[in-house]
Amino acid sequence: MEIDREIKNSQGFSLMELMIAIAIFSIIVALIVTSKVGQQDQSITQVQAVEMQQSVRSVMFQMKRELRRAGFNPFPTNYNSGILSATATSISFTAVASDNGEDDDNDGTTDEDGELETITFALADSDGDGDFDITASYDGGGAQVIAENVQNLNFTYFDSAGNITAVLNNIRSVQINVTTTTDVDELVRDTDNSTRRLTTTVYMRNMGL
Amino acid sequence: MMNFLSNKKFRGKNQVYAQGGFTLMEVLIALGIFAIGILGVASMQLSSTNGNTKSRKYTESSEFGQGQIETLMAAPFASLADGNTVTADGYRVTWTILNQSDTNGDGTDDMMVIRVNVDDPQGVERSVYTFSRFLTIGP
Repeated sequence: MEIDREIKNSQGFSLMELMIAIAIFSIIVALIVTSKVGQQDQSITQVQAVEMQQSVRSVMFQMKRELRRAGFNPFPTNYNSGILSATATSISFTAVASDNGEDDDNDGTTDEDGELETITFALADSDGDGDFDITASYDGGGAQVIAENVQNLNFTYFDSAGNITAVLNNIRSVQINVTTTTDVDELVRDTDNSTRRLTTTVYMRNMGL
Repeated sequence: MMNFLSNKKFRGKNQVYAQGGFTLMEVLIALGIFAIGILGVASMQLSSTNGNTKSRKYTESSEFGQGQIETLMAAPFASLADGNTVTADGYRVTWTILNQSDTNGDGTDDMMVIRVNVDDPQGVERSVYTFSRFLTIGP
């Protein structure tokens, strides 16, 4: 039969043809894998960059917002709201919060006139993972982590003349410097660019009024 | 096997010899199209990197700019003047008093409009703020 002869004649590939085909295929696969690995690396680098940026930006936002309230008191009576302690890596301050619906001073009465809310920001390894975090504590409660993987937090305090001061009642503005880095357990992809730093100044407009 | 081959449908030259695979030209064209696709993905990555770098610069410069505004609000009204400073990260912060006015008519200027510009280390302007400073608010 004609068809039988044709089938017998199809001999497949020779070893040489097969080897050349495999070699070409390997080169193409190697190129694809190299490009994929490079892209993966780049993608992880960008994920790390975004994490650092987001964390430094959000913690800065929260600290700025709260620090502007330091010493707030809408009443004519002096309730001694102000800065309780101020170090390079922590700050604790009070503000009158008689309308936040909470019993901030734990005296059994909610939102009485002059009720002080206490806010503390500090640098500490709060979750014990081997790198620093910035924590926030409200009304003496437990310290909550508001930013992880912090390399550095630095507060500098200035008086009304713009000079550095350590006198709590003279503090009128504070410069905040926050540096975040990649997670301690992660391999740093971009070693030249492994931190994000933000610096800003907050005018404590409620102090010394 | 014989059943399969003796089936009329699978007989004849054309069907058996048509299994010729692809020609080199076809494969090259296909690879070319594939490569263009991969390049497209690579360029997406590039634009994501550029986007992140940009957002970093905007965030940093806006923090410097806002910090400068707060510094100008904390300084005594009479001491305010044009100035500029370069931060440790290389950002240039410039503040300019655009105009001063005597809003209550007592003969002393009590309001000024100040503009704050922030340029990134490459000299590209990233943030511009304009705000009013009043004598009665702040020191």
